[in-house]
This record gives sequence, C-alpha cells and structure tokens, in this order.
Amino acid sequence: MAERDLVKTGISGLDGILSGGIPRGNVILLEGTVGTGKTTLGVEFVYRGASQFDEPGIIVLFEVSPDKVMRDAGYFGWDLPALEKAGRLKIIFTTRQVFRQELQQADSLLLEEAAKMGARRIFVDGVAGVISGASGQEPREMFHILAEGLQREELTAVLALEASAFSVDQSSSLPEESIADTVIRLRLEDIQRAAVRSIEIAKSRGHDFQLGRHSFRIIDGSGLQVYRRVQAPRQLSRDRAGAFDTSTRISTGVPGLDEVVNGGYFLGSTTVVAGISGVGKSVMALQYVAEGVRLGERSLMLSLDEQVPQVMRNARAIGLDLQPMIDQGLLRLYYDPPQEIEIDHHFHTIEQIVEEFQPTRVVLDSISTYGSSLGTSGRVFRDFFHALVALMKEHQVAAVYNHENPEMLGMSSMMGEFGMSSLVDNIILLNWIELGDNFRLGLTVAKMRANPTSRVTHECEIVDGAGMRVLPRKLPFLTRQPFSGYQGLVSRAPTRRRDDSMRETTPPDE
Amino acid sequence: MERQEALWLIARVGVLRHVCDLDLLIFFVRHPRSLLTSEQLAAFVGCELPQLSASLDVLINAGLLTRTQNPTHAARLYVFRPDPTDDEWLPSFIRHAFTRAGRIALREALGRQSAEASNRGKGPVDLVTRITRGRIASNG
Repeated sequence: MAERDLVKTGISGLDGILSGGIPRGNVILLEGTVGTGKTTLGVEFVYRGASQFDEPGIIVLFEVSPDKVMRDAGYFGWDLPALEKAGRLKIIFTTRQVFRQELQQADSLLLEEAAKMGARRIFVDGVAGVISGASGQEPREMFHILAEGLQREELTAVLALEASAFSVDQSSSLPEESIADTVIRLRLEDIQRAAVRSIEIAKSRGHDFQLGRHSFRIIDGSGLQVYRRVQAPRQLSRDRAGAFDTSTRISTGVPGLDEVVNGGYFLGSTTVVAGISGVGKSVMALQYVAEGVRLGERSLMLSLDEQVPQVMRNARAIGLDLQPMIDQGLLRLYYDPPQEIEIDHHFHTIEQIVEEFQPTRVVLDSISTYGSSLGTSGRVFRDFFHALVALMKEHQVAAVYNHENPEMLGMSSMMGEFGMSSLVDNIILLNWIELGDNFRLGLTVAKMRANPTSRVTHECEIVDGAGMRVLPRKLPFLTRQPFSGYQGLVSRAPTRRRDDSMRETTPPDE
Repeated sequence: MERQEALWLIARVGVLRHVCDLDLLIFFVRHPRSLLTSEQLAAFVGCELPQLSASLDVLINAGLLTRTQNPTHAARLYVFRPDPTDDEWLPSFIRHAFTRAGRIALREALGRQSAEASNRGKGPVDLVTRITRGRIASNG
C-alpha cells in the first residue's frame, strides 16, 4: 500500500484528529462565523509549515491589513516578519476581484510568486466574495475554478469561508463543500451562558479522521490548542489495557481497611467511595495518596471541590504534611474549578498529567461535581467517565473516585442517578448510622470485582490528627454497642440483635 | 510629534513631494506586498489616478517600491522594499504615520517643505542637509 503524503498542520492537537495530517494538495474549506478563529487557524497553518516543516507559504488577505496580521501573530509568538525576510513567507494583500482573475489566468502573478518561493501552502482569508461575486458564474462553478487554480501549483490550500449563511445545525451543506477535499467547521457553541469553541472535520478525502465536534482554545503565546472529543477513541493500547493487574495490591492507607478489602485494591482497578458530604471520603483519599508516597509510589490527587491550599490544610488536620511529599516529587495535587468546565480540555489536561507524571495512585474528588456541571442524564458524563476509567487502566493506575451520595442515612442505591456502578471494580459505601443519639460511621464493601467480599458493615472513626481507621469487629472495651450487635444498619432502621451470640464484643473484664 | 521632527523625517525620506506620495508610502508600509489595479489603489489611498501614477513613479524611482509589469494583467504586484539604510528613518516614520496626529504633522511638514523648496529654488536634498545640520547644531 502506498504511503500517504500527509501535510502536518503543526497545530497542537489537530493532527491527532486528522490521523496525522491532511493529504498534500487538498483544498481545505474552513468554515465558520465571525470570531470563530478562522484567520488564526489559517495563519498558524502557514506559519507552522514555514517554520517547522520546511514548507514555505503564502497568506492572501482581502480585508485585514498585513501589518495587523503580523501584529496579532506576534502575540502568539509567531515571528512572521522574520519568515518574510528569510523568503519563507509572503503576505499578499489584494482584492477578491483581482484574486479571482489571477487564478483564472495561466500566468497568474500570485501563483508565479508562489512558484518562485517554492510555496507548498496557501491560506486565503475570506473566499466568500471570491466565489459569489463573479458575474455570470455560479458560486459552485467559481469555487471549482478557484480549486483548480490552486491545485495546478500543488498547493495545500486553506480557504476561509465566512459562513454566516450556514446554519448551526448543518442540516444543509454548502455547494462548495462537495468540491473541497477537506471541510473543517469552526463554531462557537453556546452552553447555557458560556461559549465553547469547537472544530469539526466534516469531510476529508484520502484519509481517516476523527468525527465529531472537538473543543479548541486560542491561547496567547502559543496559538490554537485542539482537544480531542473525550468520547473519541484513543490509542489501541488502551483497549488492551482493559484488564487490571491481578497480582499487585495497593494499600489503602486507612488502618484496618486493607484487611476488609483483601489486602488492598488491585493495581489498575477502579474504586468508587460513595457517601454523603462530610462522611470522610476526602480523608480516606488523603490517606490513600499519603500511603502511596510513604511506599515511594507517585500519587496524584485531582480536586474539583477544594483548591490546593485547602486540601493541604485539611491534610494537616489529620497529621499529614503534604508539602514535603510534593517537594519529593511523589505527590501532585491538581485543582480545576468546576464552573463551566470544558470537558475535552479538562480530560486532555488529566491525560497529559497522567502520561507525564505516571502515577500509581490517583484520587479524583469528586465525580459528583462533574455530574453537577455536565448533568448525569446525557451521554457526556457517561462517556467522560468511561474515558477516564480507560485512561487509568491503560496506565495501570489504582484509581479512587469519590462520589457524593445525597442520602444522609443509609443508602438505597450505590451511585444514585450516575448509573456507573457496572463500570467500576470496587464500591465502598460510607454511611452515617443513627444509633441512640449518635451518628456513627459505617463502611461497607458493596462490590469488589474478582475478590471474595464479605459485605459486613464495619465501624470507622476519624480521629483528629490521625485520620480514619476501621474499628475491629471486637471492640476492646465496652463503651458502646459494636455494629455486630445490630442488624439493618444500612437500611436506615438498625435494630439490636436478639441473639447475643452474634455480638463480638469483648467484655471489659477480659 | 514635534514639528521639527516631522520636518526632519520628511526631509530624510527625501523623495516625497505630494500628499499622495506620503499616503501611498504609508499604504505600502502597511501592505508591503499588494496585488492591485491602479483604480483599486487610488480608491484605497484616496487620490486621482493621474496623481497616483505620478506618486507611484516617485516611490519606484526612489527604490522604495517595485512593480511587476505584465500587460495581460490589470493588477500589478507592488512590493515595498526599503533599503537597509532606511532603518534610520523607517521605524520612526512608521511610529508617527500610524497615528492621526503624526500623519497630520507629516502632511504639514510636507507642505512646508514644498513651500520652502519652491521659494528658495532648492530641492529636498538641500533641506536634509540643512535640517540635519540644524539638529546637530542644536544638540551640540
């Protein structure tokens, strides 16, 4: 099979979506309404070609003056004047009428300029008038002439089209789209009161690409950054990494809990800790990452609920000083504010951290916050969580996800409306249990995949300066009735057992 | 922008005689590689075709601009090519020409220069010498 000659755009994240690049010589129609980033993308395409891939290029402008384009490019760190001086870039200002005539002429001055400098790329900013302004010719016909002119010189061309006319739902396509080899659509999508930029490859002849709307940002100092749609498939290796390590156990860091979970979580497994706010999920999480550091394992805590200083303060309250762990390079804390979260960007960031930091343990506090931002009824959250689980498994991370269950006493469903319990390997329920005039903390292992599980509810306590521990079934002294003396603990109506033989309390005189 | 500085700049460029020369130079600084017909260029700059033609000749003869010649094309490719020695005045010219106040000062200086030159029968080169000397003298 012949190897494809793909033109790398050089735009961060875009070549991944294009499966490596765009076939050389393709005419690319870049559609978008005002402010969607067409000019930035087109200029970056030419800039990256000239500066990184030894492919000189031409930028054709009709309305924006070249000095403004150069000025704006400077904000992204693209030195266009230097490329011009080096003969690797030409910015040509013209009118649509002249441009149209030029491309129809065999001895076009514009194409002669392109040939003289050995141009391989061209960006034409605003072809709408070029196509529609010709007298006596249909826009489709005119676009065909334009594409032919560019193909004569074997230029890979990006033609920006102001698509004020095209509807957002894309129920009808533009006639030019059938002639163009590649169609890229840029959008500003309203999400409630926020707006997110998206990019979609609607068509691209001669190669595979990832369908759907991916997010992107325009970042000062660097340019475009495209974030692959979280649902889009990643590397093949991720599928192979679906199974978790069945031999290595990861200690939980909570005294008494390892015994309950058969010695720890498996490496590469997914654990959800579910319970109402304040029940101790974050405490467990802190102990989990601190235990990792103690054992020399890199640990990562992703927080959406609390900022890093707050996490560190909370850790100090249970006797954990996280700063030396961070300084050692064994612990990383990452906070992303949950307001108006851009899920593709957020996932991309997590993916980058995991790939670069290579943690053994990851805690995410908490997945319920995603539910608040993304909603739990649609596919976005479910797809995101699937991708997250797959990412952690691929990297053989023992991941713990905290989940805030809204029920204060007991629990009628493991993950509420999230409906993700089949995807996770282990589920640990933390409950308040009302006994007499006390709320006591109960821990139940509701699910432990590939492990024998005793679904006994154990009592836990959180001690100031020491953190959480799981109490033994036999309490050393009789200050209170142990959980083993009750039944119906999680069903919100615990009652004392009649059969005293079920008590596992050690009498005080023993 | 000081009047003296505007006069010095106009004198330093040396070749500008008409307001259209100045406007055309500013246009090409901002659009250093333009593919346009004369009519379009005249519309952008805002002057009559005969004057535009004369002003283009001024810039081309001064070596600031090149123009392709192809009779089959209505449009010409104009490329602004300042000489490396123009670094003395070009950055300052750009800084001032891109502001309204600066452009007004340059236009006034151009008018004064033309008036003085015609009164004394001296060309712009003499003015350069005179103004530059005056500047050195005042600095010293």
